[in-house]
Amino acid sequence: MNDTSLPTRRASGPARAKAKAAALLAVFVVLAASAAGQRMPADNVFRDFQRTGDYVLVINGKQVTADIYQSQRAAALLVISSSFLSPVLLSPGLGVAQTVNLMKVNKKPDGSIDLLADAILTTQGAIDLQDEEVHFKADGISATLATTPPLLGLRRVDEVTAHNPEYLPRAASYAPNPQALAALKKEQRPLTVRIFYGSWCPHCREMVPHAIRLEQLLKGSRIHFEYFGLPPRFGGDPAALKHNIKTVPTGIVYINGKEIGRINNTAWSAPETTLVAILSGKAPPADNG
Amino acid sequence: MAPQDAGATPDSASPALPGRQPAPPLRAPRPLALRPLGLPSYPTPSPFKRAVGTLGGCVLGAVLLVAVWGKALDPAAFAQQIHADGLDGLIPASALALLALALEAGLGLALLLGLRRLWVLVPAGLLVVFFLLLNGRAYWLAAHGRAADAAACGCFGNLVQRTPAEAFWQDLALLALPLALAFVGRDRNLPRLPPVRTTLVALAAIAVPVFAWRAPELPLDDLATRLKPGATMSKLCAGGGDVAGAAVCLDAVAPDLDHGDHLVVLDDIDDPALAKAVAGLNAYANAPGAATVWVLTASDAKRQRLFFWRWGPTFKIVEAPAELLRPLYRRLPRSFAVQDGRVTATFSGLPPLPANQSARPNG
Repeated sequence: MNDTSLPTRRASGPARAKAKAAALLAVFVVLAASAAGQRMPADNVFRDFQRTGDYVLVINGKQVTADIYQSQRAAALLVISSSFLSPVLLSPGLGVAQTVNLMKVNKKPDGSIDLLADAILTTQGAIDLQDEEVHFKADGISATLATTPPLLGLRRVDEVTAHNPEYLPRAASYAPNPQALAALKKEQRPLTVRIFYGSWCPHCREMVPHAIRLEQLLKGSRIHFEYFGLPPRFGGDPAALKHNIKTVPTGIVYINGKEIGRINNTAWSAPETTLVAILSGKAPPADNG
Repeated sequence: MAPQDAGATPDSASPALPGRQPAPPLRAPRPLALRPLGLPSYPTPSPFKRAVGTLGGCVLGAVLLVAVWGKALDPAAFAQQIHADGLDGLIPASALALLALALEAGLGLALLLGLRRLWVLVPAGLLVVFFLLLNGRAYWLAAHGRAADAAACGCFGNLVQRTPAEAFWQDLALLALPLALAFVGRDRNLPRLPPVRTTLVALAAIAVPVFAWRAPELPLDDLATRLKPGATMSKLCAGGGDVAGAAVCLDAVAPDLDHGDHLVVLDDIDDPALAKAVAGLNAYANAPGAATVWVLTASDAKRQRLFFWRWGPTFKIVEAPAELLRPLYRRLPRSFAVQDGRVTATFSGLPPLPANQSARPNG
């Protein structure tokens, strides 16, 4: 177990009074800066927190509503929930839970979060790791971060992104091939693309957002997208066996209920071009049997 | 009475005595089938048959020696395969691997040198039958869905598994056919143990396992694996057979590697050396302008999460199929630098970093 008195970036414990004073001062500075049309820069380390669907917040044995963000750069998670008085920063490297003033949390237009450079972190206690559950205490409340169970079965895109919110910024940053997109918009045949994926699968985190972006851009066209969640060990799953799914994500393209092609592996790097190739009969034979 | 001629016929013999059967005629003794010394005692095969047999033996020998080369460079992988096949019940897999290498190297060289004696062909035949049985078992398990179900996990499911059917038929073509041909046109008049060639075979059978024993210490990673400077992410693949787009390649596992500068570590996430290196890797990853740091691991998501909470890495950890990673290293950890999808340098162990502070565990 880590020493909870490990030096953190900001003072804690006995220096709390000073910290509070500094916080008040900082608030004043921020307000003043805002008033002047300027903004306190983001912290150099605690920045680029993105929503993650990997964990759920559990308090007193019940799942509670929380927005959970993760920063690769900081190797930290930020938990924002009405159950706590302040956002809670969990730093695995330091092994501590700290609170931060909500005023110092800067939500950017793309949905990601930075902590401002003058944010004061108040140490609440140690993180206790038991199996896959992360126990911590903040504002006197004991809480647990538990891993999210996989999303299974046939789902709409809003269910998929609610479960894996990290898909959204990746979808927003994906720029499909404009020619292929235009060709797909002109498609007159009713087309269904069913994407078998795993909400737990890191590869899907990279590739499913491409399909989500296509769905957004092809709204109003005759191309319909749907998502089917498979469990982590999907080899024996009835749906995977029935559709001969060997890898996730796999997109099966149907016209009038008849499969005409598949999108898998590297084809996901540009699914729109694969779709056009499938529709024009130029796609290589898919590994579907 | 004229003396009876030894070669006389019954008709020409004297009349039989009353009450007795006539004695069978005596035959002249045949000359003994002795041949002068130095001449062959078995029929000499035709030049065509000898050529066919020699070709079969050489092909089988070459196939065995090529296989020996690959295994000797990375005996740990061979030992893992022996263990996975459950063949190490009595002898440790690593020792069995060295013994098998000695046998395979000796037989391979003997065949390549044209030694098609029974003391070579019979063990070679047993070896081929053994390989075919192993692959046949895998073929049967896959055909009955057992192997696939056991291994189908992770994003890539069972896609990257070697096709057992392909392996079986390939072995049949590459091993069984040359073996059968090697029996054709054997000249049995030649000495069983020609001194020079037998000595070479014995030396190979000793030298190869000794080399394999020391090979992991030798700087042969680039030679022994597919990961070497110049290799591209899209060509480092596993599985798929001949089905277009079905192979899993590194650029599918980590698409970002195709663009920009990256430093990639291959390792088991539970490797204590990796835990010790977290601080140094974090510092490097967060340095301005530094290459993006990745750890590619076959460890599952649960172990990755535990690693994250214990050590707080700021670098990317990506899961990749073991079948894809295994041909890229002999020993873990191994690292490489990538620029725009092309390997520019490889490192045995962790990459050389400016500072390597030790990290402290949590939990």
